[in-house]
Amino acid sequence: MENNELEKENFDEEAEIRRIVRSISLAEKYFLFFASCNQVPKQKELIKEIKSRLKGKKIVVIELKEPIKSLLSEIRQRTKAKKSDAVIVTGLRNSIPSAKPGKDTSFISNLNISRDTFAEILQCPLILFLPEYALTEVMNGAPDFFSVRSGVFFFENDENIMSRQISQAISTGNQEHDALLVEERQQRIENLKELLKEYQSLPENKRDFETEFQLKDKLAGIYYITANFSEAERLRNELLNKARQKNDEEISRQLNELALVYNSQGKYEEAIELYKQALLIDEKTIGKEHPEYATHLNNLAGAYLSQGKYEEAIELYKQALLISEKTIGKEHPSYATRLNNLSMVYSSQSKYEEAIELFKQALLIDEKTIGKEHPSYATRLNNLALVYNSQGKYEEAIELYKQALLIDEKTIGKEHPEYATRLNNLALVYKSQSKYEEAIELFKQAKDITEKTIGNEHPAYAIRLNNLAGVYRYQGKFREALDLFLEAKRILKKTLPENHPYIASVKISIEICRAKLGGE
Amino acid sequence: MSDKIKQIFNACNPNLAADDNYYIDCKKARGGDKLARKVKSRLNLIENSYLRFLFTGHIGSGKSSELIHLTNTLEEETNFFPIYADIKDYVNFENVDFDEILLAIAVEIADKFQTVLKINLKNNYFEQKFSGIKDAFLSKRKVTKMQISLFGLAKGEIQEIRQNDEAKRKLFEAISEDRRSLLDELNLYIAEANLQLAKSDSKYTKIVIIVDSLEKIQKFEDSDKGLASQKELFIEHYDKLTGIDTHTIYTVPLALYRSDASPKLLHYYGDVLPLPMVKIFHRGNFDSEYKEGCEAFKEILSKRFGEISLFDVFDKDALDFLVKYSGGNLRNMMIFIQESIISADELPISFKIARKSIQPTVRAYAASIKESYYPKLVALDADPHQQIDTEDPDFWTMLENLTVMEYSNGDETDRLDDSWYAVNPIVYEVGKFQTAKEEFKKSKKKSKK
Repeated sequence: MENNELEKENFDEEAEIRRIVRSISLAEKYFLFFASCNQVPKQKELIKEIKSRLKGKKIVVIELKEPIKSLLSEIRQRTKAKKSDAVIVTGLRNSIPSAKPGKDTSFISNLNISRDTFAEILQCPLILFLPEYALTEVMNGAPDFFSVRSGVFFFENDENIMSRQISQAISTGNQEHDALLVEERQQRIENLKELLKEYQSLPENKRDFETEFQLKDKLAGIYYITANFSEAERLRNELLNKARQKNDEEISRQLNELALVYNSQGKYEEAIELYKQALLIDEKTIGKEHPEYATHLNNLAGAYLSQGKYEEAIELYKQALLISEKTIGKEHPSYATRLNNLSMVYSSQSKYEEAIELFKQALLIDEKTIGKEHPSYATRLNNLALVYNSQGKYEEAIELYKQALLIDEKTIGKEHPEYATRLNNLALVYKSQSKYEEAIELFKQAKDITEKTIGNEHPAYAIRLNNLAGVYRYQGKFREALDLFLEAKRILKKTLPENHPYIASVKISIEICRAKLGGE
Repeated sequence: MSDKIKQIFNACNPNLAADDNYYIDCKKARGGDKLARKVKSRLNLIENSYLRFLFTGHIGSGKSSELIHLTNTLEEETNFFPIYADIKDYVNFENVDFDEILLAIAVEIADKFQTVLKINLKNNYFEQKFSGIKDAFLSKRKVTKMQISLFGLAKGEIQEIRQNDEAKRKLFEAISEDRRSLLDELNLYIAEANLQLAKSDSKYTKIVIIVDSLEKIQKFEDSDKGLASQKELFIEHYDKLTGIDTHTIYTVPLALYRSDASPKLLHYYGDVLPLPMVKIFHRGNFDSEYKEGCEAFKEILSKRFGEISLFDVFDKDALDFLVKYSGGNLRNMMIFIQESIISADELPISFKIARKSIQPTVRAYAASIKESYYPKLVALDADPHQQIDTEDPDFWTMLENLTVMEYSNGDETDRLDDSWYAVNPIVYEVGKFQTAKEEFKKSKKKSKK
């Protein structure tokens, strides 16, 4: 249906930036714009980019660190006697609670009634950056204010989140498949299918439905890690229906597995709905003070994090942390993992100090429990390095990645997707430092390992191609870059839904390369 | 970037104040010039009492335009002398005192009498109160002889008081020290005004006060912000609002009208008229264009664009698309035009760009519509009478944020109150709505079998 497409069409990042820049250039007095962006670090990058394209214009950026009551008074105070060509406000998420009964919503109602006063105190366009949930809150809670907008810009989640989901997809839970190489995985799939078929062809009175269930469960798991999400989704739905005839524990487990599949596809709302259903069941069966319950809370938090709902994510991670503390105690690798997750949110919020503090705590626990020579310890170092990289502390980041790689070599070996992820991340640092040759070398290695371990039709492989192509693009090697981008797009389109933000970002790169190459 | 693009972008500013120069008579499309007709007929019927009338409407539906048009209609076609007071020129919405509203009315009466009737309505009380704050303006005042003095100050200076804390404090001290009440003094002033009208050789017999922007007050006296303040003003202070000794028309917030305070509003003021959307398609058939409405919208645009022809700006199918998807809400159309302009490299705007321009709005609505609303929206869409359950709070929300729009009939019947409702065309583009619609169709088929 033609209609249906419009909503699903992607917002192209470059086009959205151009629209903002153009709005600021066109507006001669007060105009109101909204920019929806879920991630704080990304907001910062975007604003930097917008400013760099509007040299000579005076852009005032107001960063709100604390909740405020009235945007109007805040702007009045901060723009006093300053002449500006545009005012950009970030940090509104602190003042806009995501829909929860009993929370203070006075900020939103103030917005609504002060609508007409903004034009009196501002003679230039006003651009409000907020996460998508906050935009919805404004739309519902301050309809008058929303109605005088001149435009809304959307920025989709960026590749970091995508990469994280994919690395989650290739390493979560299914340890038994982790060590397998591509051919071995394919072999495993064929074997499982064959076996299942034989079971299903038994005479009706001899059918073993329990084993069939287990085989399908295994098959779904391996589809998931090979990023065959459509097959995984189909099987998980089937298993969920069957689970409903079994028991509540199994229903909860299948709900979580299906939600993971949705989450990897960017279908966050669907995932959240299922996680919530699962938690309700858990409360009846295992109760709230159970490690499994904590894991499920943790999953839900992950989906909120992808949506940019940091408050919810933090609250759930904290709950999970508390449960872990009570059940397994603080000196436990799982407790360290919970700390790790919480600090990932802080780092997404650009609260680097808090994040680093928690990572260090987690590392201490690991040292006491699993020791330094353990893949999980390497993962922790990797995450801490990500924070240093975000802060621009490249030397520290490189040091940590190298440590992690050494541990990996001794534990999981070089032929492992996690090792490839590490190389990839190290290369990203080199890229930030403009050390392109070093970056290319590592991206290539990462690509080859990924191809060998999880295959060349997997989104993780497409991400490797995309990253490598990105460096070529920076070097001005547009022909090489274009070929890789095109291959990445082909793979992504095969495995991910059409409207996935990652596909959009690859498409932009393709357009840019084509433009640079001219009608070649 | 061409100047033309810039000019059009700025002409479509949704914050642009209503101006009768841009007023286009949407009466057929809106259900027959409802406001002016209703007010006129009510005024003619009234004897021995004063008209109290409340006016409300959707965001961006053109309330102020209608009120200014009403003012002009009364002035030209009747014996009533309209005084239009837009209090946004006199108050700071974040902190409004009742006396400020009364002062605004007094100033507008004085101004209108001087400019239209050349009658100088003197008043010692107001002059005395304003005299105390003259200093606040004297220092920076450039005396221009063209300015008309109202109670000793120019209108612009009085309006500036709202931003001048010192002047405001002094003025209110002077008012509160006086044992006379401002309302009583205003009523005396109005009595004097009506007397002068009767004595003059003009056709007018009595003044009608039209107060605009009252619905925008966010903090009233000591009440909490928001709905609490609105209730305090319109419900708790109703005796004062209805205590002005002449015909009065006020704007009231749609949210208050849709709240539990609605029965009280009707009881105290008698009449509340909500302004419907401009009808641009026929009831129950989105694809059947209602020509008069569409033409009216295009005319409004034409006026805003000045010398620039509509067809320099839009391809024809692009313009038709934008009008259609506005659902009859002028401000929506302005938003879509602005979204188009910031995406277009050149004029005229193509159909492709126009279509793309509604995408951000579609995305915003898709996220804001609650799951439980879809069955209600689908049912409304399928209802041949296009009616909603007006008692359902979900619909209040949806009317307020324009998920559902209200229309009036106009050409179909003479009844003034025959409202009907439709789903905002933007919602048609939301995937979940389409899915819900398919399911609704299926379930219908099943139930028939």
